Amino acid sequence: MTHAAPTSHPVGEESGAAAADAGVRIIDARTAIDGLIFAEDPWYELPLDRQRELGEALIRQALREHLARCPAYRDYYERSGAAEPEAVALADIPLVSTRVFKFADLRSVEPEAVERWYRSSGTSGQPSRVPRDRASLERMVGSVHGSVGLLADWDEDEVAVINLGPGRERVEDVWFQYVMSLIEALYWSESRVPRDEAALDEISSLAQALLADYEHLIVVGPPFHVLDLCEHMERRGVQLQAGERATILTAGGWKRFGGRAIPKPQFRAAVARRFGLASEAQVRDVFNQVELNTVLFECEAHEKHVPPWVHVAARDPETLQPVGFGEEGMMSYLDASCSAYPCFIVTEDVGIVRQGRCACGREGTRVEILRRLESRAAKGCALKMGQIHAKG
Amino acid sequence: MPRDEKSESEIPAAVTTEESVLRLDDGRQIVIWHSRPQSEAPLRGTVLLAPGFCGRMYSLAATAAYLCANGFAVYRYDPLDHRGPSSGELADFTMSTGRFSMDQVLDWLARERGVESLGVIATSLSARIAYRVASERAKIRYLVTAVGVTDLRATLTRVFGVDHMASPPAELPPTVVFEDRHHIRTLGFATDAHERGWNPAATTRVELDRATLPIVAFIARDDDWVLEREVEEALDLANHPERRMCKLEGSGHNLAKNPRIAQAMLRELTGAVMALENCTSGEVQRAALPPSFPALEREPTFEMLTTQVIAERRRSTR
Ligand SMILES: [Zn+2]
Repeated sequence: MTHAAPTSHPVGEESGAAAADAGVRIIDARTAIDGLIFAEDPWYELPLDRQRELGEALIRQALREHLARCPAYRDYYERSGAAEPEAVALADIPLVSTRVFKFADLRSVEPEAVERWYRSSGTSGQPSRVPRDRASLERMVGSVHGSVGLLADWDEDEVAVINLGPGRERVEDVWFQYVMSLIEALYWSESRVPRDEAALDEISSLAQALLADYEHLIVVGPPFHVLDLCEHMERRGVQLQAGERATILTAGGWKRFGGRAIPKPQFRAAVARRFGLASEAQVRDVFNQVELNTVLFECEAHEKHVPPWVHVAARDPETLQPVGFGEEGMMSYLDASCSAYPCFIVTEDVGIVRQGRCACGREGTRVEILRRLESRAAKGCALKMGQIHAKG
Repeated sequence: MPRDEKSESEIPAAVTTEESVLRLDDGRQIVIWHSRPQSEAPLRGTVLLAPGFCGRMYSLAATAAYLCANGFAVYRYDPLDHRGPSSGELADFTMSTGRFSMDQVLDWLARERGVESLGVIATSLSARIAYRVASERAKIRYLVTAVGVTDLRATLTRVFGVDHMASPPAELPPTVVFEDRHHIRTLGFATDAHERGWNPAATTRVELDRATLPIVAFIARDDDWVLEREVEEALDLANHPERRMCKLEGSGHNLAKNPRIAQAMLRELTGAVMALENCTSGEVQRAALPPSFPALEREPTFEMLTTQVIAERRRSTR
């Protein structure tokens, strides 16, 4: 019989079980990042100063780990001329363009620790490919669990979910669908792709049945699917009266096929009307992309709150220097929750970062994602700045 | 509820789980799940998992997966008057109902499955029950507890903020609320606890003084409900080399809250069960446990664990 140590989960290996007094073993698996993500008290109740302080320490820790474990990133870091990891300002940590994930396999863990390579859901062009290990996946789920409190305090038994997407068995490696399907691990769920009239009829009936059976119904899906459902119900004369007993959660692109953007306030009004919601605050959006490990949730004021383990900055497309709070720039993230690859990324989204007290009353950092970066020159610049010649 | 039957069979489960129903003479039913390793290798042993108060059978999915991956057959059950699919309402639960349920399942395992002796793993409140059962039934080879209650009255006082056991029956509130949601009737519970000797702190120690089986007790160092010193007092480690305490740093009573700590705990627990199976396989009772437990042979991945949780959640009726 061999007692091979499990090699696939390095985070656990660091935690030792030490013999103490006779008959007693001390098992210390604490890590600062998990201590924050899985804390009893939610991060969004912390004062802003404390959020900043925790975030900075966690991001520096993550930086040290990725420099030690990801040779491609270490090489890129050294060539960038950035200061030592202890001294570098967060704003100056070298960023990886999300484009890099289209052609390079960036990885900070051993291949056998990778649970899957997940890809972006774009239908055209080369998809991004991003590895995740167990700890990164658990923290992603933790980022959802920890932010659900921004929505409401539900008992898992009271809630039923309709996921307007493929179920767990059919998602394969598309990150967006994978994340959505994991809601099945949290709540009683049904997954349905609203691909045709028959499917929309079934979903509409399901929503009515679940509203009758459960205290609360959550419908999650891309905005265009939610809108399809509402328009379908309208055509069929279906008017729900959910009152306070439903939440509609959107995630994904705000464009319909054909590129028609959906204005969010109109969207919320239409959805609230069709579901008979007590308030448009029950229609919420969440943000994530395959290269980002943390899921960002909207509060009741429709602001996306950023947990302290993610440092977010909007940057000037030419200089990549952060612009001021409230100003538009290219969105970049330093996400300390990811152990599988250096999640220090600059994206092709234009957005705004805000800090201080939100209209919802909570202190913290919020982001608003406005649109994709259009200018070819800016894209070229982002690509150049984010270049990293990774060999894996 | 409509179900996509054909998609369900495609789930690559980490383990195979089947459900059985134990029908009592009075018509009540206890639902039992049996999970087996998918490999054809001979079984290393059989364990019974008892859920914590209010815990669902699928909340023990990860524990079952770890044990199955390392060669154990795992049985789980939902006690009577509990939150899951077995007969009765959670509001009517008493310690003696919990004990009766555990006894019934152990009898059923011997009668229907030929499992004469086995290990028991009990969480939180069910650990208090398991300590008593293990002190009275010789066929339990070893006991592992997780945040196991040893001083019922002290724990309940911390949970509810009031020592209801001190109240005369006429002054008890009709119900208390557990974890903000679950209403529990007090009179039956308190009467049973008084009459059947569940209350006095010293009874666990007295029962365990009679027990000869090896015990490994996991405690959480930040547990507000079960205190380290209470467990130490009950286990009397100094006089029992066949007992071990594993103290988890940084965790509260909910061991699943932080997955890093949960993972470390499941590795240690599985190793403990492997060691206990070895050291109880012969005539060796009251032998000292080894200083450290063996490492896992196989660890379930995140994918396997979530697949199993989802499959088990789907299987569970509401
Ligand atoms: Zn807010």
